[in-house]
Amino acid sequence: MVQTALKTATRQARLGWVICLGVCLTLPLNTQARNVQWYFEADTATAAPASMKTEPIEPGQAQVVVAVIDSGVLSDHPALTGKLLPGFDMVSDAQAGVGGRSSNHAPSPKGTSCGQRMVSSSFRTHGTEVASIVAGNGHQEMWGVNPNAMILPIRVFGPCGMTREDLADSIRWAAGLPVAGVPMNRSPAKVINISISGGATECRPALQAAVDEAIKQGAFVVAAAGNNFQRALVEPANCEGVISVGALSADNRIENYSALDPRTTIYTVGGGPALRVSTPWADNKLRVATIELSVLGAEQLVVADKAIGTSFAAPLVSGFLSLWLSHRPNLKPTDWASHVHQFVRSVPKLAKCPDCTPQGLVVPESILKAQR
Amino acid sequence: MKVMFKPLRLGVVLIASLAAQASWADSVVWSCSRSEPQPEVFEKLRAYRIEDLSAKDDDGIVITLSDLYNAYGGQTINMGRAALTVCTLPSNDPIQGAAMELLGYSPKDVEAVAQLATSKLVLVPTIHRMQKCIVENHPAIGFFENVVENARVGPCF
Repeated sequence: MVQTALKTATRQARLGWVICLGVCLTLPLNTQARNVQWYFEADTATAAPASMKTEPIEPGQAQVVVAVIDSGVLSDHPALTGKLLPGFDMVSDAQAGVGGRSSNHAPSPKGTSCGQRMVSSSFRTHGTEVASIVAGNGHQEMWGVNPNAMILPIRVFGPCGMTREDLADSIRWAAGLPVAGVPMNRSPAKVINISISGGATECRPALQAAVDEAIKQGAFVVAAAGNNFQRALVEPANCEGVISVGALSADNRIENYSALDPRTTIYTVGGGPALRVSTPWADNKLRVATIELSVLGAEQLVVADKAIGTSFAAPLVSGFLSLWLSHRPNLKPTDWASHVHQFVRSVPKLAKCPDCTPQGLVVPESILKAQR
Repeated sequence: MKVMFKPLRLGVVLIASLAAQASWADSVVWSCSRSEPQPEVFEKLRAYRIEDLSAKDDDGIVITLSDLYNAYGGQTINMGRAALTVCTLPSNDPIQGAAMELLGYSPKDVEAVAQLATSKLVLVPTIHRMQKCIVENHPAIGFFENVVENARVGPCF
């Protein structure tokens, strides 16, 4: 219960002064103070309609490995201290001093471009932000859904894009399967998070084969639905067996930017524009470990409430899966379908997709308790 | 084979498969500037499916969804050594209304930000000037009612 107590104390600290003399008393200096991670809030009276309600749930005994296939993860970010396993750079082309397949899973250096192609600095921080949502260690209140999970960082893209082959290899390696020319992964992942979208409108056989092999190996494969403003799923979210994740606003509406497709497996909060309501969750952003520039242009490792997109909804689901698996480590991806009804609630349909039956993630504490 | 997978974005290369969808018509198309004109690249984009393209052949700037939101919210987005320019319309323009509704922003608030001296938002008088703004202020983003794709501009999501 230590983590829960710590989380509670830090939340109380946001609300005002916390005085602990055997018991903690909160002096409410600012009753408008918000819960920065409102999407975990479980208190029915104050929780956002789209909250996952995982806050009171302690991780189980099993430590679960979650692979983050992304832009690489900054190993020196304090919100991820103690959370990273030895990862891999699966980018087959050497680009700007990185790539070429090595154990260096760090993102591309600051300011890297691909020839004349300009890339925003968000791409450097993307993987770190995703990883922190799964397993943030509580630094500056950057809690992951499962702070006991371990992150397996796999870099699969840089400023010059990526290949389907590298993604397929990343999925296989994450699951502990052999990949030619790459050392074996000694920490196979039970959950594989892919916050990437933009491939073909039909899952190509090469990618589907990798997904199938990973699932057969026992790994849950989670992918962002994509931010294509209500169009159909593309790779890898449209591959069979993948748990595709769309984005909700805090008030439980499908965000405009989210892909819209009956095949979307589940929705959870993805952040978006601030909501015009007077609630602790009106900001409608997700907290992430990231980089910001100082006034002199120096990079600073910070925690910020700024993430928006299905890229950030997906790791909430991956984090939840790791939490679930920490209590029930023998569950297999094939068990998902028979259990999913326990932790979903309805989400209003959009007229644009009459065939959609969107379901949002909500995790009653009793579910995990009953399974212990 | 290079594939245009992106975090938080869909690239220019999806135009071919998405342009035919009716949903383009009831939305706006967020559009990004491209680097120097390279006609052979444009020809390639039109000629091949996405998985046959190298990302190196696409000189569109690459931004994330968070960048889009933050840019129209008035934050500076760094693109290497340059800052992203945001092309936008007056608040009373119906296309501006549709675009800002998609983002959840008030058109008047965005217009007010654009009028600040330090703003990276550039107010263009009509949608007909949008392409000029995007091209002349590379790296830049803006929007159109329909897909506009040429050597200097293309959809960015």
